[in-house]
Amino acid sequence: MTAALATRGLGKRYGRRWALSGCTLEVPAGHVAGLVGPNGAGKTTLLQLAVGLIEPSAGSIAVLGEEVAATPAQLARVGFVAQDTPLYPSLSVADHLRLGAALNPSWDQALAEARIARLGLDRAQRAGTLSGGQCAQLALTLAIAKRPELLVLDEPVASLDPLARREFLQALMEFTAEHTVSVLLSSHLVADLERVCDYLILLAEGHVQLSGEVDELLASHRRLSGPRRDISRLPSSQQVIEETHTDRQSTLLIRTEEPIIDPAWMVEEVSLEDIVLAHMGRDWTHEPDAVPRVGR
Amino acid sequence: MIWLTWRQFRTQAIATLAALAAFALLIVVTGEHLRHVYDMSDISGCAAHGGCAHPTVSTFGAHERILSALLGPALLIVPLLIGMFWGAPLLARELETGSYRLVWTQSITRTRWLVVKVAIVGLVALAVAGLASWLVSWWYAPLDKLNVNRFDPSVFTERGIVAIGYAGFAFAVGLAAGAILRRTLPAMAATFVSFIAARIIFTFWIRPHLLPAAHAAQQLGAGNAGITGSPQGVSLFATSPTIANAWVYSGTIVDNAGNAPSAGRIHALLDARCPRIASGPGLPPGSGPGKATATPSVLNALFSKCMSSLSHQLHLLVTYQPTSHYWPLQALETGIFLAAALVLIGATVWRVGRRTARKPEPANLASGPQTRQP
Repeated sequence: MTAALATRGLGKRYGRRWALSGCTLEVPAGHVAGLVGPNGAGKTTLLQLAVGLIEPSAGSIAVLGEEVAATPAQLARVGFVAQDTPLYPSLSVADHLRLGAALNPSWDQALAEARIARLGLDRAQRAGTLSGGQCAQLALTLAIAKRPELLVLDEPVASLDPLARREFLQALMEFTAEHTVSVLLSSHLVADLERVCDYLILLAEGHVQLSGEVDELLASHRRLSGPRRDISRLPSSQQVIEETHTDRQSTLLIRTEEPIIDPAWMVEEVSLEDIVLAHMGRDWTHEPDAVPRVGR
Repeated sequence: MIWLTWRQFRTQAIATLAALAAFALLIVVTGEHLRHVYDMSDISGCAAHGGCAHPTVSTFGAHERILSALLGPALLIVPLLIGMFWGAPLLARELETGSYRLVWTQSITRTRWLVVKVAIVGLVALAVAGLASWLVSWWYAPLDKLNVNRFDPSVFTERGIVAIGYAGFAFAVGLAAGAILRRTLPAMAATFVSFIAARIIFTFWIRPHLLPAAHAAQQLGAGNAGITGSPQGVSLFATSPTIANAWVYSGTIVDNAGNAPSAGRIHALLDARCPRIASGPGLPPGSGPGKATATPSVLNALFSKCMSSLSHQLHLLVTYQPTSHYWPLQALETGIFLAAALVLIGATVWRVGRRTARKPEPANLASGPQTRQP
């Protein structure tokens, strides 16, 4: 099966600053993949590269096995909801649907109409007067009525209130349940992603820190606590992500594929948020595969 | 795509159409009246014979005078408005508000998106400018028959077809400025400045060299020469000669070999041919003919006699664009501005299609320096 997104050494430079560098990644199709990372981590850059709004400065990127945004047919396969869900303020809701119908050969008018009706949007209302939640829903409608094979969403809920956020993610989940579509969704909040994603990519400081299926990540990470000890004496199969020590006790967050047999440890499962935060806090510069960052 | 272009452009298009209709009404009503006055008065007769002594606009009514001062400049503003309000926002507004992220991710390449928009809005811009220029030229036609030099910069640029070239160019400048600056207001300001600069440069340094000038020899006389006295002696100078409806670059006094004679030679010639003038009785330094102790009529006769006796040795060489060069010059200027517009549009389409060198989103910049979460 072709990967939804595959990158190799992908980098993007703005002036002298690398917003993204050395990004090698493969997201299998059929997943709802969450892209998480702090502000300025390169999430928007990666997603804009994926939808072809910008071109890479280094490396290569393929979306659904094709060159990005090279042809109208490729553009038709990818739906995009941009950050802050831009719309045309002077165009009405109906105008936006007409725009979608005019610019997309695969446009599903029935799907769009049904969504607008269920959201209770006034077709004659101008987009400039819609609430943030309604704008996001309209933008999502435009992106999914295009019937894409890959739906890319850049921080779609970042500016929404909790209720609108919940409704938006609900709508997204309903769509993914009914249609075979891959989703790539970014957020700086793990809690948003935890609810909808089954695949996770962690981006920080322009690099991919972690990527994999959520289930596997949850299964392979454990928190160990026990009497203080030197971490260099741990089995080589256990990779320490985070360590805290007091005089008498050590608490470690480790990644391992093997069962933990040492009886001295108290073993706990960890949440996705803990995993993400632990990986973000790690000093990535000592990773063997890390590419040196060009200074800002 | 045509629908979207129309939907985004229709408010401006309808407003422009309304303004153009009001303008046409004003032009037709006042223009008909102007023609009526023109036909009723004796100006039409003297214009036909070329014998109007001082026919000026003042012969007409007060509101014609005001209109004649306003309509031409109004036409000059049309391309500027097109560039600032149609050209500059076309890309800049999409880039500024971020809506390009919506439209460039639909199933249409951005090159096609831009080409369709530019073609539709651009062609409407050319049509509006052409129509406005045609109306203005028609209005001025009776006045232009009188005494107006059609090559005068303020007349040449306010008639005929050049406005079409200016409109296309201003539109392209606005488009390119929007693509580079990515903000509507700065793009509008840049369009304003660049367009005016381009027009000034063209008027003063390019238009005079577009076509080779014609040359003509004129006999020296009261209309094109004068005599001036100085402590060094009396000398001859050329004044700006007039040729009806021609663009006169210069007039130079030359001898039969075509060379400009030296001051000494002129002095010698004056001594030989016009002794009474050369000896300078009653000609104080700096004065021309007719300002002397002698009566003006006597001096004028003296001057004319002197000029005709000099005509075997000296004449005036006039360099000018003949009236037959008017339409070729109009066509050349229009073509050059339109060609420049096409180059700018082509470069902008190429730049937009290339998708590189985009700055980060404002939202990203606003999020400040990269910080790690705890």
